[in-house]
Parts: sequence; structure tokens; C-alpha cells
Amino acid sequence: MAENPPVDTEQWLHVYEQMYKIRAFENATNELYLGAKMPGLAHLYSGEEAVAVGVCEALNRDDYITSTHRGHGHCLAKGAAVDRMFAELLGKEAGYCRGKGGSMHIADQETGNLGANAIVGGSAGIATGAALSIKMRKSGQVAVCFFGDGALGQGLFYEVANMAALWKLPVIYVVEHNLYGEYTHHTETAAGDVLTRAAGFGLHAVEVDGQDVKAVMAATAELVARARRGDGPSVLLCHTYRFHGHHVGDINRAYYRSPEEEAEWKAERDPLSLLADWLTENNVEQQVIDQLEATVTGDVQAAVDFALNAPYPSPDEVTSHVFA
Amino acid sequence: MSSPNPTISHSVAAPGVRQLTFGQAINEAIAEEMRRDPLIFVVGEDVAEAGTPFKVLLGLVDEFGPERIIDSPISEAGIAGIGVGAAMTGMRPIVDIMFGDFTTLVMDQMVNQAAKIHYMSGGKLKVPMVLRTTMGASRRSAAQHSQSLHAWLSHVPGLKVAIPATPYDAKGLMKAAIRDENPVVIYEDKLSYPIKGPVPEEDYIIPLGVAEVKRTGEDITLVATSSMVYVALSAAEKLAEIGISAEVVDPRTTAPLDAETLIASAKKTSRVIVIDEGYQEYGVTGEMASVIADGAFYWLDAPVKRMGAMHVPIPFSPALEDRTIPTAEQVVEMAKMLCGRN
Amino acid sequence: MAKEVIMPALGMAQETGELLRWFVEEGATVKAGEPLMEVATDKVDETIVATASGVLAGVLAKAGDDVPVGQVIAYILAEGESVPAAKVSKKAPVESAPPPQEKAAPSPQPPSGSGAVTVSPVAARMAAEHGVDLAAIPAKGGRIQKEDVAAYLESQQSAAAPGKVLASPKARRLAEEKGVELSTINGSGPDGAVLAADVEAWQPAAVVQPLPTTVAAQAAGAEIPMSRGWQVMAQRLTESWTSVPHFYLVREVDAGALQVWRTQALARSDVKITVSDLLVKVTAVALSRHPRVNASWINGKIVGNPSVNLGLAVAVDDGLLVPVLHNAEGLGLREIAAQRIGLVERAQSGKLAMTDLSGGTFTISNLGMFGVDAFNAIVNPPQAAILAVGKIADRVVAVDGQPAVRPMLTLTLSCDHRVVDGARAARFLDELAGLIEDPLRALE
Repeated sequence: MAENPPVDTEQWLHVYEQMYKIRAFENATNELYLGAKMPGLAHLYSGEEAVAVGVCEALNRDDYITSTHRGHGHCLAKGAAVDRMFAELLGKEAGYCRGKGGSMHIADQETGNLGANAIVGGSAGIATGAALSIKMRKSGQVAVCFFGDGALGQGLFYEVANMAALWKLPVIYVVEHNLYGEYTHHTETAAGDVLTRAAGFGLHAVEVDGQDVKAVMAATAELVARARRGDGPSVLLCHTYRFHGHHVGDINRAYYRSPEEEAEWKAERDPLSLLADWLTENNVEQQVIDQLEATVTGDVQAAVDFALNAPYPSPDEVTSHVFA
Repeated sequence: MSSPNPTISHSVAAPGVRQLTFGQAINEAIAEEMRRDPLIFVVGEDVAEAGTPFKVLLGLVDEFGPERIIDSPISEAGIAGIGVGAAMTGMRPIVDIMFGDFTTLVMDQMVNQAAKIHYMSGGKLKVPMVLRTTMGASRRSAAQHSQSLHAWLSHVPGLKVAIPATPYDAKGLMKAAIRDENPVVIYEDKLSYPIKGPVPEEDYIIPLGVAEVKRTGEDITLVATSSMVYVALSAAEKLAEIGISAEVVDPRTTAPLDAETLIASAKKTSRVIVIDEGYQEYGVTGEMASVIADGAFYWLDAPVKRMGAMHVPIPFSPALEDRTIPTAEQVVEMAKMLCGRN
Repeated sequence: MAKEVIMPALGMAQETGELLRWFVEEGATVKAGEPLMEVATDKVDETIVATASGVLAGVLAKAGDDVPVGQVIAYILAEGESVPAAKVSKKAPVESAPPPQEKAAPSPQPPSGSGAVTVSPVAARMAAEHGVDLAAIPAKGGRIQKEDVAAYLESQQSAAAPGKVLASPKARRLAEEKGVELSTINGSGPDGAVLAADVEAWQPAAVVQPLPTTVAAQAAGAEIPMSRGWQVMAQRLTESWTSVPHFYLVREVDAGALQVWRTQALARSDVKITVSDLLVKVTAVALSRHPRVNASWINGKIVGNPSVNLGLAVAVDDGLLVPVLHNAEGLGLREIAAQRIGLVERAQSGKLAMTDLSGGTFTISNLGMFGVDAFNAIVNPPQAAILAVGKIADRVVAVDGQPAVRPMLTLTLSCDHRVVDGARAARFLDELAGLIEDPLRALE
């Protein structure tokens, strides 16, 4: 485990703000969805904020990420604006994809976000290809591929990890290990362990507490530096937990996950509480944190209002953007 | 039946033009484009020193080095996915999938990723990549190395699909594909590689979505793709001997499809056979026949007929394999029947 | 709405009609039901009455014009109306069914008896809807009823499967552009489907040129104009000669008994009975006993005919007409003579109605009055056969081993070999010869 960076109150308040933004965004998304104001599906990122924020805080704006169906956190952590995010979730023209992508396909070139992918493990190729592109163009960027433990069953990852290792590509595979693939515990779907699999390809692999944003950020910073140096790909295994079900509608889930387990993670392992506690321990006034939360909550509410009132795309748009 | 003197399309018959094989034309197209644009690279199995099993890419690694002619592991999905990611981030990859049969392995990357990214991102991201692969039976390669599966990717919005027949078309379409801002799949018929034809020295492209009348005629239209263009031209010769004047139209791309040219020819001749080496059932012949029947209905004097590969896995034995692909004789018989000449 | 005046289609196979004259001048007033124009169809001239009252306007055809049937040639305007902007509807659908009043009208007036066919209104409507000539429909009673039409339609259905005409889309488009009715075109495609080439091969009738007033007006080598009737004759007989496999049976018969019969019949009748009438009578009897010779060749099938409708070839100025004696097997000699006289008169004056000309199942051509000994006639499709009758002449023949002078008559039967073979035809001819030589056999 890498050493924590020196305490910089401003920096960690910013990190907290990012994590709180994701939490507030997902709470609002939950309400929109349950209020039948949001079409489709919503896979909430709540509980895993430290992974997205910890990783993305260690990246530059032009570094690439690829995301997953549970991707709101990645987008926001990489710098997406909440109003355009909500607009996309509601299928509005002001959305990041003009309403054509929706919750599971948000992409934002401006912030290096190559897009969320609704095929589990489907973006491993894209992230690795981006890394090849980086290497060929000698641009010094890195590419980060977020995926969950559910994607460990997909073959594509092993094909591209093999090539990334062979060709020393600047790609970091971040495994958000939240214990469950949809409604199934990982012990039923993944044999052996992740680090050993990585070792099989000769991939550098690191394991961190995914609820500890400082740890995630420190580990990522090291892997990013490695990649930029040309030392090749790596795997970052983050142990984390999703506070909601697989998606918003996954309410009765005791059959695969006990309420006690959930309560324990929320009480003991909430990444926001962990960082807030650390901030107050390091002399940040609770009032400052409250003020920050109020501001973010207000921003999120304003963004929701914006999105609800934003116009839908013209029906004529259905045939645009099929080809570039 | 009228039988005017058949004329072969000028674009492939200009005098004094040097002759290249289909394979050389592909090689030259890629080489010229790579010289023009340093962002272009080739990735695939045995593309470098081996120059692919068909030797089509021989020599490229010598000029452009292993950094741009990249030998990959045998991981079709992986290299297709890497191609998509590289294309999204500024490169212009040419992904080499040795046999069209292996496109089964790249389906998610092509269908769910490459084809949709531009649309899903509301036009912000694009995937300017080329996936070149092969098609065609008759090489005694059996069921997993002989299929013509271009219908599959032609079915998906967001992909363009080219199926050149001649060296001239191969070079022009390959260049157009490389310069296109979208994912383009090129199916090269394996038996076509040694076929020679005129290819001009100067730079040219053939726009994707423009059919070519390979032979003009009055009595029946033979819409033919890839290797079937030769079958159709041979059939047209035989038909001319019995006074049936056949027009041969090569769509050159299945997506986008030049419906206008197909319909115009159908209107002119009032009879059409669509010939393609893919499986006939649910194949590109069905789509083209439908487009023609729709657009030329009141000009048709006979049902639009389809001829594709037999609906069986391609067998190994020559005695069996040769039965699975349409022949010029079969086209002649069908044409005679449609022209009331049986 | 201005009422359209169209060139009517009065016959099943009619493609164009010649406008002979207008009875009303453009701008003049006409009443519904009054004669409006006279039209020459394939074989007859018809007076067409106005279907509306008003002023005749927008006249597009003049006397002598040959106009595709169905085409608008004028309008009848009510007060305040004007001629529609689109003056000629080029693709006006061809009206295949003649105006109902033509159909519903009883057959022309034989004075009395079973020949007078009437029709129920329902039957008339059904026939009009299906484009069926009422004259072709055999009536069970004296009147054509709904059931008769239904039975006829059913028999036609099974005989030739009409109704939907098979045709390629291109052929349909071309036919519409040419204003040709598809059902009139022989299809060369699968199941007889009409193909584009079939439509293209179809030729509209040549434009009729005005007849020169005298023979002297014709320059050497100049084309001699043909009347419409002549054109039709030329076309039909060419078609028959080139498509019907003909064969001929010749038989000499002793006409002595026939002459005796005629003499006796003349004495009993106020109507002038001719040898032709006697031949009609015995031929009708022979045909009813040999129905195969009374059958027709329709769309590649042999179709039987339930009644004997005897056509009589009549020479007229501009060709040949074949008016028909319907249900001849049920007619008495007097009725035959009366009908024959009416038909010949109407034929020579150009006043034959469509019903007079349709539905024939067998034809008799008698050139005896021109001094012809014997000749071969051309089958009149779709009929199976035609009987050519020469003059009755005294000849030396062997009677009971001794030379004798007898009034002899040469019959030549021309047959369509697709319908009858030599043996069937010979048996029919033998029957006929027997009836001529011994007319009492007709009672057997």
C-alpha cells in the first residue's frame, strides 16, 4: 500500500465534493426513476464513489477512461457536468449524447470519457486500443478501463490484457470488485483470484480498499506513473460495495444479499463517511462540509430541474449520426 | 430478344493501363494510404513478415516496420476491439481478420461497439477503422474457412460493407474505406487474389455506395457481387450466343447499397437475377431482390430471382463443394427461363 | 359534374371503335335516351344513346376517328357546367361491360315461340357485372334466370378459369398505357401469364381511311383501303389459318330428298324456305347428336356447348359476316327461315346487333348460289368445324348398279383437329349425309 499523500485540506475537500456529487446525483436519479420521470434502467454507483473519484483524481483531463453500465460515477469523477448528465438520463437533446445514449452510454470526449458500455466487459478492447493509440501517437496519456468483477467471466478482457502486456500498453484495468455480478455472488462465478489471473499474463497488479479514496488515489497515481514511463499495463483491484441493488428496481434482494450485510457496509464502510471523518479529524470544520454538501445538493437539484424542463431531440434526429 | 454488341465497362478496360492482381491492388492501396497518413496501421494475425496466408500484405512490414504492421496473437475479438479503441482515439487502424468465417468472433466489437459508438455518443465519437477479411468457397477449405458472411455485417446500421470483384475496384474501394470516417468492412474473395486486371497508377477512390454496370445489356439484369461478377459475365457471354442480352451490375458495396442503379437496370431489362456467394436464405440476395422488386415492380416482366450459396455448411470434398456455389451454367438456365427461352 | 361520353366497348375483344357520326352537333342539346352517335365496332354499327341530358361539348373525336374503347370523346354538360380541364384521360380504364340496357334488352324479335329469349333483371345485372354476353347463356326456361347466369359462370370458370388475368407487373403497366384490356391478350408466360412482349406484340387496328368513291379513283399500285369489318375478317381468319390445325372431309350426297322436302315445305309455309334452311335444320340435328363437333377450343381446352348456335356465313360488301341462329336444335323450319331472313337483311344493311353475332358454335358457308361446286372453308374459332356447301347439280351417278342422273351436293367439312379427330368428324358427316338423303331420320 502506497503512503498517503501529504494532507492538503483543499484537495481532499474537492475529492469529498466529487464523491458527494456522485452520491447526490445517484439519490436524485433514484427519485427520478421511482417517480417514473426517467425511462429505461438505472444502475446506481452509490457506495463505490471512492473508486471512480480516487482513480480519476489521479488522471489528467485528457487521459482516457472507459466505463460500464454502472457508470454515472465514472463520468462525474472524470469531470462531466451534472446538468448534461441528467439531461442524457432523461433522453433530452441537451444530454451528452443528445439523448441517444442514455444512462448506460454516456460518453464525453471533452473529459476523455470514451463512453459507458452496456456489454459487460465490452470496453476492454476499446481501452486497450486507446492505449495502443497513445503509444503509437506517443502522446503520454494513459487509458483506464473500469469494469466490475462480473466482467471477469468475459474472454475479451484476457485477449486484450495479453496484448497489452505483450506490447507494454499504457492501460490500467480497474476491477471494481463489489462482490456481486447482477444477482450472483462472485464466489459462484469466478474461480481462483484476480491477482493470480493478472500474474498469469505478467501484468502488474495492485489490490486496495476501494472504500478508501486516499488509498485508491495513491495506488492509481503509482500505476499511472508506471504507464507513462512505458512500463506497461496494470490491474488495480478495488474492493468495494454497491449500496443499491443491481438496478433501481432490484428491491427485494435478500435472496442473494442479506440486509445485515448491506447495513454493515453502509454503517462501517461508506466511503463518504470515511473521508468526512478523516477530514474532521484533520481539523476541517463540520460546518464547511455541511456547506459543501448543501451547495452540491442545490446544484444537483438545479440540474434535475434543468433536465426535466429541457426539450427532447427533434424526431428528425433519429436518422442523424448513423454515419460520421 | 435484342442482342446489341455488349460493351464492357470502360473503367476496367482502358487501354494501356498496367495489370495488377487483385492481391497486389489491395497491397498497393494500403501502402499508398500508409505513406500518405502516418496514423494508419495494420493489425492482425501473421500480417507482418508472413504477409498473411494469402501473401497479400507481403512487403508492407519492410517499408513500414513492425510498429505499423503489427502481428497479433490469435485473438480476433481482441484485435477488433483494439482497432475500435484506436480508431476512437485518433488512429486509423486496418484490422485483418484472416477468414470471413472468423467474423463470428468479432461480432460484439463490430456490431455493438464499432457500429454504434458514433450514434450512441450523439455524434461525438467516431470509429474510422477498416476491417478487412475474406470470403468465398471453392478452395477445399471446408465449412469453417469457406463462408461468405457479408450479409451479417451488412445488416447492422453504422457499418459499411464493400465486396470488390476486380483489382480496380479492390484498390479504389480499399482507399475509400481507409479514408472513410466510419467502420468499413471489406470482404475479399480468396479466389480473386490472383485475378489480374487493369489498375491505373494514379490515385483514385471508388465511393462507397456506387454500383457499376460491368456489362450493358437489354434483356435481363444479372446483379452480381464479388466472385459472382465473373460468373455473371461468363453467363452473359453464353447468353449472348443465344441472342439474350444480359446486363451485369456489380453493387460493389452492400452497405450502403446503390439501389438507384439496380432499379434503373431492372427497369430497363424487366428481368433480374441477383447472384451472391453468401447463403441465399436471409442473404444479401434477398435484400437486393426486395429493393429491386419494390422499386421496379411495374417494370418487371418476371419475378426477381435469387441465386446464392446452397443452404448447407460448405463441404470439403470437391465433388460436394462445387455444388454449393452458383455457376454460370445455372445462371444461363435461370436467365433462359425468365426470358421464356426454355 | 360534366357527363363523360366514352367510346363504348361493345364486344369482349374489342379494342377500338370507329366513330361513324354524331347525331347531335357540338353545342346542341341532347336528351338522355336520344341517339347521340353511331359507332362501328368489330362487326356491327351501333347507335349509342345519350346517358344524360344537356349540351354536347368538348368533342374530341370526329366521324371516321378510330378511338380506343373507354376513352372520353365528349361531354354532356348540364347548365352551368364546363368541360373539365384535363380534356382527355389517356389512361381511362377500359369499360369492358357494355351498358346494361344493351344486355338487358331481349334478343331481337323473332315473331313468336321459343326463340324469344327474355332475361330477369337480376340475371341481366349479374351478366353485366361479369362482362358476359347474355346471348351465350343458355336459358333453362324461356327466360334467362339468375341460376342460368350462375351456372354459365361456373362452367366458364372450370373451362377457362377466367376472372383474374395472369400478367407480369410490366405487362399490366404497358397494357394500361396502351389502353389494352389484358384479358384480350394471349399470354405466353407461365400458366398463360401475359408478359410484356405479348402486350408489345398487340397491334392497334390501323387507322381507317375514307373509302374512295369509285374504283376508277384508285391509282395503280395504290393501297386499297379496308373497312373495319374487312380488317377484322383479315385478322381473325389469319389467326385461324395460322393457328388451327385444319383437316377436311369431303362427301357427296344425293340432294333429291332435300329438294322434295323443300317443295313440300314451301307449299305449307308463308315464309320462303331455302335449301340453306333445310341444311340448318339437319345440321342442327346432327350436331345435337355429335356434340363434340359442336364444342369449342378455348384457352387450350375443349369446352362443350350446351346448345347449337349455328352461324351462317353471309357475304356483305366489305367482307364476311356470320350471324348466328341461337338454339337452332330447338327451332322449327319456319322459325329457322324467319330468323335467317331477318339476320341476312340486318347483315346486309349493317344493322346486326352484338347478340346476332356472338355465341356461334358451328358455321355453315353456302356458296352454291354462286355456282361453286365445292370448296374448303376456314374454321371460325373457337368453333370446331365449318361446313362448306356447294351447288346442287345434276350428275351421273351409279344407283343400284345403273347410271342415273341425280341432284348431287358436295359437302366439305373443315375441322380443328385439336377438338375433333377424323373418325369423329366422319361419323358426324355420315349422320349429316344420312339426314340429307333421308330427312325423316331427323325424327328418330
